This record gives sequence, C-alpha cells and structure tokens, in this order.
Amino acid sequence: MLTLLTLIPLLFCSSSFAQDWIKAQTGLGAENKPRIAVADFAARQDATKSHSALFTQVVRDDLSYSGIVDLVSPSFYPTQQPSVPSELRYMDWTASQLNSQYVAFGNLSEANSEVAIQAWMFDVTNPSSQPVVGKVYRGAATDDQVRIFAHQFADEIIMKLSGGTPGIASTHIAFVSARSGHKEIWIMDYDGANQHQLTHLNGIALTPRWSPDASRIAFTCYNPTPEICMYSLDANKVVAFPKFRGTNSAPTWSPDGMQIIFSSSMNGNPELYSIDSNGGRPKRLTYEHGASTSPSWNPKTGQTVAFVSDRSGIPKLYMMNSDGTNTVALDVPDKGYLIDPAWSPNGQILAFSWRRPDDNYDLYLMDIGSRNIVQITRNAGRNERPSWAPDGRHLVFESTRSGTRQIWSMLADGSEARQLTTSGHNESPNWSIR
Amino acid sequence: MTTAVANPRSPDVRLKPFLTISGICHGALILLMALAGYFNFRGQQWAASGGGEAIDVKLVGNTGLPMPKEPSLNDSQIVDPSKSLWKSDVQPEPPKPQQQKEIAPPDLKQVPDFQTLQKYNKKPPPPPRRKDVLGPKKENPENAVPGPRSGAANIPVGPSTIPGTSPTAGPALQAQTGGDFGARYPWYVSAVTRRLHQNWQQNQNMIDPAVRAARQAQTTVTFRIYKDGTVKDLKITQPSGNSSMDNSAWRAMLSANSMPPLPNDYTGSYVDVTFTFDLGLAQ
Repeated sequence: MLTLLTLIPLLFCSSSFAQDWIKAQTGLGAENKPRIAVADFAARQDATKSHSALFTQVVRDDLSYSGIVDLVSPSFYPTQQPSVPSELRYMDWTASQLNSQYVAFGNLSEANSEVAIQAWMFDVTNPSSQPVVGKVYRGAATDDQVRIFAHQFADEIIMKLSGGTPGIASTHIAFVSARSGHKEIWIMDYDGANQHQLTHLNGIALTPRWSPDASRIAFTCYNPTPEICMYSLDANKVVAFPKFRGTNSAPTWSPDGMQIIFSSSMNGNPELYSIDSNGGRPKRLTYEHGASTSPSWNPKTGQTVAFVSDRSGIPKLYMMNSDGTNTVALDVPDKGYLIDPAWSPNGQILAFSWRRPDDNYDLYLMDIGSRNIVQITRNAGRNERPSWAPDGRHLVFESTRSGTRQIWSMLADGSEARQLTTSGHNESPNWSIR
Repeated sequence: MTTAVANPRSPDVRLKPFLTISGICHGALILLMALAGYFNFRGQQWAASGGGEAIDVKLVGNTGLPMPKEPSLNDSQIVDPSKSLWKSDVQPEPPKPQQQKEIAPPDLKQVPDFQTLQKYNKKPPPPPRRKDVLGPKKENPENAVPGPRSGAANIPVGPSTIPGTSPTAGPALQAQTGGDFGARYPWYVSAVTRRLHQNWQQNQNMIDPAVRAARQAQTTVTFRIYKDGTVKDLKITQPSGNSSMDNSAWRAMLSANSMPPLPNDYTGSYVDVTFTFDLGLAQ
C-alpha cells in the first residue's frame, strides 16, 4: 500500500518538460520582408480551371499588395507544382533564384455546383515543420465565392506572417459614383472588384462613412437640402435619421459607433454638432465665426476630433476634444488650404490634403505627437479625401491624375498607387473595417 | 420745550455753499462707482448674449490624454536636416562581434535531462554574418543621394517605412529557442520579431539622437506569450543605461499588448520570450 502511494507522484512527472523559450533581437534598420511563392492551384476537373486560375491570381495580388510580404515572381517557379503536401519538394522552392521562405499551394475540385478548395502554406526553410496554414473552403462554385475564399486565405497568411496585423483582403470601400446619372453611394472590394450601387435616391449623395462595426453607412444626401442620411447594410436600405434646418453634412463616427459628429448650419453658421447615432437632439460643439466642417473622430482614443475651419480666413486644420473643448490649430510650415483630415487606425497620424501656394492638392501625413509632416503624392493631379485601411498601411483617395476623377489606393508611403475605378466620375472613398 | 434751531438767517453760518460742495462730491463719487461698475462688468453682458449654453473651461493637466504639443519654433519639418548630404559624424566603426548574451537558465523545478543541459552548455552561435556581407558599414558615401533607400517616407512612424523594396531575404532571422518551439514554428518567431521591429520603429524618435547615432545601446526584455496570444510578465531584464532607449523599447512592447495566438497544434500553454532591442544591428 505504501509503495503504491509513493508510486503515484511518479505518474505526474511523466516526461521531462523543458519549458519552451525564444530569444530574438532586432535593430532599427529596414524590414526584411518574408518571401512567399504562390504556386498555381491545381484544378481537379477541367471545368474548374477558370476558378483555380482566378483563385491563384487573387491570392497573388492580395499578398503582393499587402506591404507585408514579397511575392516571388511566378516566372521562376518550377514546372512541377504541388497540389497536396506530399507533392511538395522543398529544394525546388529554396533554390537560389527563387529563395522563397514560404510556399502556398493547393487544389480546387467542383461537384454539383459546389467548389471545395484545399489550401496550405508551408515554411520551406524548415522541412520538418507543420504547415503554417491549412484550410478547406467549401461553397457555391461561382467567381464571387471563389474570390471571397481567396481573400480569406490571403488574410490568413498575412495574419500569421505579420505577427498580428490584420489582412485587408476582405475589406470593402464605399464611394460616390455619378456613372448612373446621379451621385449615389456605391461599394466595392478593396481591390476594385465587384463594384455595385447601394443607394437609389436619384438625388445627390456624398461623403459616405462606415460605422465602426461596418453595419451602417452614414452619408450626406440632398432631400432637397443636405441632410445626414443612414444606409443600413443589414436591411439593405436607407433608414430614417433626424433632419435639421440648414446644410447638414460630413458625418464622422465615434469609435464605439454610438455617436456621430457632423457639420450643420442649423443655427446660421456651419458648426460641429454631435448626436446619438440612433437619432436624438444634437449638441453643439463649436462656437466660432467661420465655418467648421469635415470632422474626423480619432478611432483609437475617441478623445479628439480633427476638423477643418476657416475661422482664420482660409481653411485650416484644427483639433479639439470630442466635447468641443480645447481647440488647437494644427499649424503647418507653409501657406495654403488644408482639408479632408483622416485619422489612421492607431490614432497617431493624420492624413490630409493640402494645396500649397504654387502647388496642386496633394496628400500629406502628419504625426500628431511630433507634428512632423511628409508628402506622399507629388506631380500627379489633384489628390483629395484620403481614407485609411484598417491595417494602417494603405490609403484610398480620389485623384485626377488619370484625367478624370477616380478612386485610387496606395501604400502609406506613397508607393504602389493603383487605380480602382475607371468608369464615370468617382469620388469620396471610405474604407471599411471589414 | 426748547428746540435748538439753527438760525437760517445767522450771517456767520451759511449752509448753502457747503451743501452744494457736499452734493457735488457725493455725486462725483456715485458717478465714479457707476462708471467703474460699467467698465468692469460690461464683458459679462456681451458673453451672456452669445447663446444659452456656458462654455466649459477646464484646467486640463497632463492627465495622460494625448495632448498636442505646444507649437515649437522649429524650422520646417518637411525637409529633415538630419538627412542632408552633410553629415557631421564620420564612418561608424566596423561592427562589433556579437557580445556573449546570457542564456536563459534552465528551469530548475524539473530536473533537466542531459539533452536539455547540453543545449544550455553549448557555445553561443558565431556573430551574425549579415552585417559583414556588404563590407564595413558605410552610412552614406560623400556623393550618395541621401534619403531612405526603399521609398520609405521620412516620417518616422511605422506605416510609411514598411512598404517599398527590401533587400533580398538574408539568412533566417537570428533567434535561439529552447524546447522544440523554434524548430517547429520558426515562422511564429519571425512574425513576433517583425511585429516588435515595426513597433520599435514607430517609437524610435523617443531615443536621444546621440544614443541613436552611437548605435550601441541594447535593451533586453522578457515576457510570456500565452496560448491565446496575451502577453504577461513584461520586464526589462537588461537596461541599456539610457532611459530614452529603455523607454522606446518599453513603448514598443506596450503597443504590442497582444501577440498572435500560439500555433494551434502547439501543446504547451505558454512560451517565454527574451527579446533584445539592439541599436547596433543592421536590421
């Protein structure tokens, strides 16, 4: 009996457990982006070929535009590409001209108009490791659904490799388009695909702003005077919102989605008011002569609001607490009009459009803490109304650089600008959180 | 009953002039008071006409709200003079060999087996060769066009320095691991390193410029990542000796208040991390 009792503790120290630990270090130099190759996803049936090509292309585009990874050019890929893990030959991918660290591959099969996608991502510098990502996607065998799955897979890869930055591949952009004959609110995928119309008001709709939970879009509509209107994506229609005298425009949401600040001339001068996002009585925030408009609520702290006011004579940027107190001017070291402030998701950087005396409207970034300013567009038409992506690395804006006013997106250092819309006149984009 | 009555007709007591003077003085006094009251309080009158709601004036101290800085009399910040062609310091000295770092002591609760002890006894790896690949570190030759080499914006915050071209991937990030975590999940280690690298870049402006230019200071922190990615037990175990450097490392850690969750098929419940922020490293 006693020996049994002494033996029991032995059951609890089964194998020697060495606590896992990691030691790592970093300097301040430029980042070493991971290199990833995306093999051609195999099509198990001939009919699936278009979908597998689409899936591969969308994943490649999403990864190369993310700013987080370097996509290895497909022209170097080996001829024999894996479709399941057992076919993966590590040496092919780590060869010197490829030098990739990660490989994504998989296959698609379709039956009864349902598609099944198997997708993996392996670390090829480490032959014994488990796959970093292994997923199966099942859904309708349509182009739209295949796109959605490709975006999800790319987001999964970005999430794993970036150490926590969310991928933006599944996000959307709301914008104003006049291509139907009237300015209405439209929506599209972050890469410009899938553009479709949301509102059919046959009037003028402007300044769409996504709510923080992406369930509603607040915008300015002319009814016939400018009012704040609300579109519900759950109900797929415009829902009621209080109307006020005068001109009411430029809504911005609080980070918790409970309040909206907007510009209104209900008491004569355009001033900023805050209101409950379900409607209610507006509370006045600014009391200055001159117009105050284009408010942008800090999405990280919810404490400060940046806005544009011409109380000094010309439009300049100001910042105040969200209850209207403590207004400060955000001075810049040159003259000109400053408009369209937009906070980055981490609440530290303000993007805005600035027309300096001899120049065009260009986009600038200001670090709020240090008031450093950097210019991110140059010699490329008029650039206005920037809006940040939820990863804080991309911006969408309107630009006339192609000759007509269109929506463009780019990385936050000004590189890799790409045009998202082509038909008609498009403006005033806003990036959703998802 | 006798009443004393002033004799109005007495020639030597005349009241009228005195009354007049008294009246004038009193009147002047009252007039002065009225004027003073008018000038002092007329501001209030004007304020009251501006609308029914009072303007709330609070004395806001530095209570941790993100208060904007007082505008400082700097030159234009668009052209950053520190990135100009003329640099006051000469070539930095060639990279030092990596100093012997403390290896984390074995967990003494369990008696480590021989295999594990071997890991702790082996020599540290040779200094990383990355720094020597391109020759001794040369900041900017005399005639080089200055500025960021990857299209990164000069604004010293994260988002604008990340995108753009990057040097081709060098050898895998130098990290040591214990147990088998690093062997099985090197991508996770890389991801954590990358995340902290970005966060540190966003906070690099806090570091004293002299310390940053000297490229020597190192701060080592330890923390624990749990299965769901929460970070706990954050400590600075090896301060650099310079508070601005330590603060920048601390801020970098705080901005990363949660890491990605540990890999799904990892059986442990947490991983201890020792991380060094080293100004001397090229990357």
